[in-house]
Amino acid sequence: MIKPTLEEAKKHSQGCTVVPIALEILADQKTPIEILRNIRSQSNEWFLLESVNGSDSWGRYTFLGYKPLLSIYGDSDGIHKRNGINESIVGSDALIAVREVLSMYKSPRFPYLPPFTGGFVGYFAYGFASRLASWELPAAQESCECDFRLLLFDKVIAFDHFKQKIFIITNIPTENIDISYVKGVTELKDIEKMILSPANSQEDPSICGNIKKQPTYEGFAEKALKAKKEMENSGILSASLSSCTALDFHGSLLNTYRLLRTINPSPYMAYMKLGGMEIACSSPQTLVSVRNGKASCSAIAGSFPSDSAQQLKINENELLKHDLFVDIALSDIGKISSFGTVEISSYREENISAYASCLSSMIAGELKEGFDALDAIAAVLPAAPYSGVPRLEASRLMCEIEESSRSLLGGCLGYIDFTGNMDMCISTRIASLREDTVYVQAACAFTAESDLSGAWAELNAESKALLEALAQSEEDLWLL
Amino acid sequence: MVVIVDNSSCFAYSLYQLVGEAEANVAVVGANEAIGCIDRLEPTHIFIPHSSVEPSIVSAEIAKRYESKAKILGIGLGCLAVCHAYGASIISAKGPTSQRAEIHIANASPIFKGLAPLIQAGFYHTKEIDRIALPEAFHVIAETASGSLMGLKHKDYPTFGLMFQPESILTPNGRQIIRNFLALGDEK
Repeated sequence: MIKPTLEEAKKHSQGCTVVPIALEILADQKTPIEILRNIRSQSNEWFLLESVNGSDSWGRYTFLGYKPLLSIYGDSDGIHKRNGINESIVGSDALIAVREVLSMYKSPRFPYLPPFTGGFVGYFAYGFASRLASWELPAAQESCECDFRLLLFDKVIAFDHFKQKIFIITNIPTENIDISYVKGVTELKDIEKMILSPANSQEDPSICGNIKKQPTYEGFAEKALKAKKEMENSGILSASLSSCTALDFHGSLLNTYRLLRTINPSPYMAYMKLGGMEIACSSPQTLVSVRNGKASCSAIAGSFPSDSAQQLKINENELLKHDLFVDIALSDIGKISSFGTVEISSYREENISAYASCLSSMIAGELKEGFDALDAIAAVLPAAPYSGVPRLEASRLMCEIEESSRSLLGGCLGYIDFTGNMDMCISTRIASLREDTVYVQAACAFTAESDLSGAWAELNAESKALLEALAQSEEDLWLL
Repeated sequence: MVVIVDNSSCFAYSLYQLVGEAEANVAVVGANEAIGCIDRLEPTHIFIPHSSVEPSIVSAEIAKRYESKAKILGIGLGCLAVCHAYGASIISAKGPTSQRAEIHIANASPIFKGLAPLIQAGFYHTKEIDRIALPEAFHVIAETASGSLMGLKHKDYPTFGLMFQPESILTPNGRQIIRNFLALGDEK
């Protein structure tokens, strides 16, 4: 069955440039990973987004996409727009470039369709902040690939785990809608065939090789002490120290992701290939989202090994550290919200996962007139617990002290859709694979009063699940 | 008209929201162009919020320049900038950078109107005013139990300074303090 019907699509097309239409099929014979294996054989760039609610149930939807229409990314040469084999530089303002594309894809919402029906999927790295006003960080702090990369998907495969259905969605132009509807239906049937075809049986071997780089407590302590000394004299309230483990790695992260989703299921699970980079992520928290004009941003107190969650609750220093991030989030959301609409929608909730737990709060506000999802992203980047406070001064300090680039860590990852909604998680507990090297990055927030051993434990807890998944990924998982 | 000077503060827009709830005619102006903007906008109230890491020189200049033209409230490092403009010495603060404390307030002061003499407040800074060398131009209107200065009022002008953050989640009475400041009339 195709929804909406042509008549309904016409009715909702006013003021829109595209309309999503969907084919529903039963989801009881296929899994997202099976479909992922098929789409990986059809496209060099693809994504899978899924989630876990709380600590004990999978989220309602899994989204997959492939064959992006175009991509936009930024590096030191400027903003690139790639459409098939054509690539051009489209200025230096990332937000303008992304808005220009989004303005061509304005879509209505249908209550019976999943919340994401098409749009940009990708990331904003830590270094993206240097594109924003007054952020001129030394080069070492910038992303080692792109400072952002977004891929535009007009077709989405959405698993509805509650209804046990798969929604195959395409976005049809509203111009000449009678013709485009028919074409869209044909596209949906083609995708259905691909989904129902036997899963690609090609194996995805991965070989995890030598450790190229690994943090040590001695190195961490030296940097942390230097940072704490500087903080005492500089007025920096909080800083974040990151570490990077780099390993030789051949193959894909598919097995790593399969393991990750079983050993550390998290609110934001993502596996994607964008450009030349594969990313596997199990993030604990939203960084920022916009839903129906309401912007939300989270404040987290950093991560701890799960067995010390109770300790976190009563540690006054950690509570104050958390409240500092709540105050930052209140100001970030306050910048883009109408007066009288900013609220703390949740406060100091325990965010528990198998490997690391943290306290989180959520701050929300109604977007001011003229503000959009991109303004919300710009208001909160980089994530305060990963940059430190004040953001610029703390980032500059840590840039001098650290030797490695932050890359994706402390940025965000997710989607911006055709209806104006957006959902981005904090880029943490993340592995990125490029040029036969896999990078696992982690960070811990600390203040001048923080205990170093606690901060070191936090750093290790952040990367533990991913390192375990990588180590196990060489096994023949198809037999499990 | 209310002006908030943006000193690259992490908290400026929390303040913006609290002010905007009571007075819709509010503008946030960048520190670099603040003096030109304030000359043009002729605000009745000027907020000098917490700055990023150091008390700002522009903020001190604003405090002096508009002392008789507008009500001025300096907050956190903004308070230090205001006091520095009148000769106060700034020293390193003792204790943690993030603190929640009980503050004794002079609740006869109009900025604390309607509040109990002891309030909870949060503050984030590494510097404070040297109480021993406090210029005679200021009254103390708030302090901690250990005697750290938390609030000041200029004797001759409607100029106030708060070392705690009224816009913080750690200051439950912050909204009332902001409203009290905005409600100040022409009294000195």
